[in-house]
Amino acid sequence: MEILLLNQISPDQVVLLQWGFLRITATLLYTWFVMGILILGSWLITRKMSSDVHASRWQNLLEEVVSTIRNQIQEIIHDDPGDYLSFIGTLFLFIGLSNLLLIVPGYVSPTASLTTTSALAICVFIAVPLYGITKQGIVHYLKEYFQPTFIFFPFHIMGEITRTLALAVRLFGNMMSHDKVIAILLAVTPLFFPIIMHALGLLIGLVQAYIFAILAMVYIASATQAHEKKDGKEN
Amino acid sequence: MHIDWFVFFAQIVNFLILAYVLKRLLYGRIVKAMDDRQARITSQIEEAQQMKDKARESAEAFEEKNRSLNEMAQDVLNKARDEAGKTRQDLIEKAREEVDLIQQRWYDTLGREKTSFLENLRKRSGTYVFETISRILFDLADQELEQSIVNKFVRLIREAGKESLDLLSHDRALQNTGIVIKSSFEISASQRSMILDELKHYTVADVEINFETSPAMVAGIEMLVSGHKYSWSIKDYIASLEERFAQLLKEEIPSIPDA
Repeated sequence: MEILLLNQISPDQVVLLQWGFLRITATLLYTWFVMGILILGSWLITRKMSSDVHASRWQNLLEEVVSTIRNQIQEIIHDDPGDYLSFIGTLFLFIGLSNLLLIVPGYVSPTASLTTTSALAICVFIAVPLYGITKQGIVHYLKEYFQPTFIFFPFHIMGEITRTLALAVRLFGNMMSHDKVIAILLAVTPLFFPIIMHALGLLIGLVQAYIFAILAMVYIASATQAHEKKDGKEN
Repeated sequence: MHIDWFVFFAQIVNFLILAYVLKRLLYGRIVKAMDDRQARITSQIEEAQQMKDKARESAEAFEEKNRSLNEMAQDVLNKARDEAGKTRQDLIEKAREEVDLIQQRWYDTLGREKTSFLENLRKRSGTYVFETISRILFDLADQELEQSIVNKFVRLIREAGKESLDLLSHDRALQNTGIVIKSSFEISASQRSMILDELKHYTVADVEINFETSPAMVAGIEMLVSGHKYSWSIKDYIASLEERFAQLLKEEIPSIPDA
């Protein structure tokens, strides 16, 4: 009895098309699928935007989502969230929708691929110094790596790398293990229990998207606001 | 755990593209819509606040105007009341004056009527008394009253002549003016001769003596000589009767003042 399909092990393993080193895998396909939904949905909803008091339900939904993201960012940085909204909001929406679409039969979340989570983590890894340098200047930003003494420079670098790695592995581990646990439970238990686990999985998916986005924001905030750099919010 | 590096970079590109597109299609528009709505609501609230302030100012102005109008109306009312009171007082005064005037006229009229009545009464009383006394004298003494009056007049001349008529004999002015003897009745020839006989003792021979009959006199006879009058008349008695009658009338109608 085959309890795990190949794509359930890792969508990266499923190659749909290949031209030389160009490989269209299931990860990319599902990523485009999620991107398509986000872009198409945004375009459809926002093409008839209304600044009136009475707005459409979908517009209200999007406004609520965007407003919540802005509030979360503002609570962390205590500043205008406009500069970070696009980056943090896209992280949350992409990861969240990727995880919620697990309810679609045959769909495998791109976040269950270490390649995808690593790519997102690298984006955060690059975004942190970019925002830090933009806000503080390169000298002031680099000076933080030598605080309190230059001896701590390697530890700062290790900290940057490890937290990026943790960011990637945490999301990947959670999403990948969820698929695997569902598959195993489906094989050994009656139908109802996996349904509950599936619902729980949707919640976990949203929580993981929230954690990933919040941690990314905390890292960026620590880089842009030196006095809060070691506030330990990532724990 | 294997990382497909092509997919890795493709995912980075995908993410950047998605972030850019969502920034253009989603965040920008949504945030703009929310900001516009907030600005509009703020504007509406400010406008509502302004309208509220304006309404409050209008209400206060209206109340002030209403208060002013009430005060003005009260002033006008008080003024009208004062003027009405004054007018009423004037009208009362005027009415009182008119009443007094009418009352005075009434009193005058009443007085004239009273006088006329008394005059009439006096005449009638005199006439009745004259007739009564004439009838009494005629019945009792078998002598005409007129003769009695003439006799009385003759005695009166005789009594007066002793004291004052002697002067007539020396008064030459009598030749011009003469002597006028008025009586209420026609004096007969014998009676005239009685009077002339008596008078000739005191007058010169050529003095003219005229006899006149005056119906206005009441049962009497009088003689006018150089501004002096010698008379006898029932009028004197009637005057006493008239006085007593007037006194009686006044006692009966005390509110009627003397004319």
